[in-house]
Amino acid sequence: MQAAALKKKPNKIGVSLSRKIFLAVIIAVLGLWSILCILPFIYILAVSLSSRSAVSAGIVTFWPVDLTFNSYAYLLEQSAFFVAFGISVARVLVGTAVCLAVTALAAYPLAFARKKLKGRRFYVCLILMCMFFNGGTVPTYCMIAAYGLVDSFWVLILPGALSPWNLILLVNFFRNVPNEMLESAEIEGAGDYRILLQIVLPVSLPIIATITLLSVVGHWNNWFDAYLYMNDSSKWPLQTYIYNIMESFQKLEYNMQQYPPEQIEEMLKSNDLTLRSAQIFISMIPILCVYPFMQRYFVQGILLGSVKE
Amino acid sequence: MMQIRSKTKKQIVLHSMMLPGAVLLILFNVLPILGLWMAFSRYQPQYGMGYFEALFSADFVGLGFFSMVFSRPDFQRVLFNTLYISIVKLVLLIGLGVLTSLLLNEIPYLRLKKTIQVIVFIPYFLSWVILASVMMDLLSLSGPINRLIEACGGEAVSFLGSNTWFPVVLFVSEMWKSLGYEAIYFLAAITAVAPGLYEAAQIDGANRVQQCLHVTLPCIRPIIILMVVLNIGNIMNAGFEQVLSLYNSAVYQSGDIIDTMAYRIAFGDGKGSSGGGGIYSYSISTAVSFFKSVICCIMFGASYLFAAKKLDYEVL
Repeated sequence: MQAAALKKKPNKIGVSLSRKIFLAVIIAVLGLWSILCILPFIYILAVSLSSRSAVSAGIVTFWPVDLTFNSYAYLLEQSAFFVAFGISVARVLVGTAVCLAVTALAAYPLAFARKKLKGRRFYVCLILMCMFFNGGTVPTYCMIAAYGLVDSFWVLILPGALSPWNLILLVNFFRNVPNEMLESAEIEGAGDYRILLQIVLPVSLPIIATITLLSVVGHWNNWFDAYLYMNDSSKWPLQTYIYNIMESFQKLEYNMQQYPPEQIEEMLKSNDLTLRSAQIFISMIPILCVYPFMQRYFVQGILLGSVKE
Repeated sequence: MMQIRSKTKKQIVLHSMMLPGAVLLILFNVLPILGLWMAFSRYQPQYGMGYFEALFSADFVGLGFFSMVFSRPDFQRVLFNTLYISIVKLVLLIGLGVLTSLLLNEIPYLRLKKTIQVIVFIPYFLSWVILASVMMDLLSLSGPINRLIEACGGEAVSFLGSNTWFPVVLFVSEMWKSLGYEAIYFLAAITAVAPGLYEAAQIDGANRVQQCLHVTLPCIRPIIILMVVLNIGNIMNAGFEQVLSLYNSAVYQSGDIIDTMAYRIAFGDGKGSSGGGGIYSYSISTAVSFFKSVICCIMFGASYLFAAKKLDYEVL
């Protein structure tokens, strides 16, 4: 008995040792990957908090050199930056409200077969068509120009308000609302708007949260629509504002010969690295603030959206 | 009588709910499709004339603009770039995504696993503008990456200005942004694998690696195939926002894709430059994007049909 146990022991240690090494390697690989994912942001933060001379000397790595808040103080004085920030906040609030309202309203008649919506096929075809095909950038641009929406705030809100993907998410979720709940509400004499507001929406909170967060992040991050549809740069949201600065910086670095010297000088001035880093960092803050709360809902959202059981 | 009336009233209520969404889709998705006519006619925006009036009074030229586009010297290269970039991205994303999800699954410490997931998911929520700005700072000639190369005795590389390196930058930044998403996606599929299968494999003497290869992988195979199929439908989209925010005229050779080409034809190099590339630029640009969206639509439809028929994937 004892001999058998002794014999087994080294073998057991061997297994657990190889398992330990296996685990250590995996954790090292994944740990390295996650560090690589956030190191760039730490670098940006360090640059934004360093003095200008330290940055141009190239000695800043992942810790601020000559800690200073100068670039943030300078940004506070710049109204253009904060106007852009405000426009971004406004588009997130209004855009998300419109998106939720339109999507929830459209999902209700589509989801409940017992409502016997006439022309359901027409709506489904319309939605599917919009998923698979669109006119392309130029025709859409011309159409929006024809509506007179160029330079209007609503051009940021309306075109993307109803996303077919969000609608599908919501329809699929609504379908799981028990029929008895709707039935009893109908017997009590509740109208459809009331049923939607007081019965269907309250039991669908997880999916509403998912769509809200998708919409918030989508609106905060969207820069191309404003860039395309707005000529007046004072109406741009933050991301477009930052893209514009970055673009001029890029031109400066790679096609310098195209510009007259005075303009290059001016571009260089507005492209101070510490300042740019501060802008990038401030624009990341709202996402980083809501991120811990929303991560769970996002995972849920992806799973609901792509893999249906 | 009463009942019929209440039925129509009910229908009106239901349609009133559909109305805002349907109107938005028709205004911003369906009506712009009419504008595709400009790919077949000599359309120029005209002052004092309505959009549709100008559009439908333009001379019909048939497929003239298409043959003009196909014979452009840079067209083949752009087509190649588009396919090359999106295929490499697809292979990398799905390959590395599966690999990292398998690795994540091996970690027994729940806390650590959660922390890693949370961290690698962050870049996915930031816009390409932010990620591209950060990439530019990191990769610029005086940036930290080049300082590191120089410290190791190498020579500074202009990553964003060289045609050999630019696609690599695209691939790396795409991994940075999307790999976490992909990994979490597959990880969710892995957690759905029945634990009994692992127990059975353990009894048969399979070690962790063997369990991975012979239990986990076969179990998530349908989802991997589904992802590949759906991504193949998307193959003409090589990442417009990413390329637009990272590229510059020095790397058109290796980085220009169909979307950016169509955009540049119509609107020029950016807000600073003087609009599009001259006469009928809208028509030419629309011809390019129409060509793309026809292929896109076919690929997309085919892949979805395939997924629905063979893989039990359901859309609506």
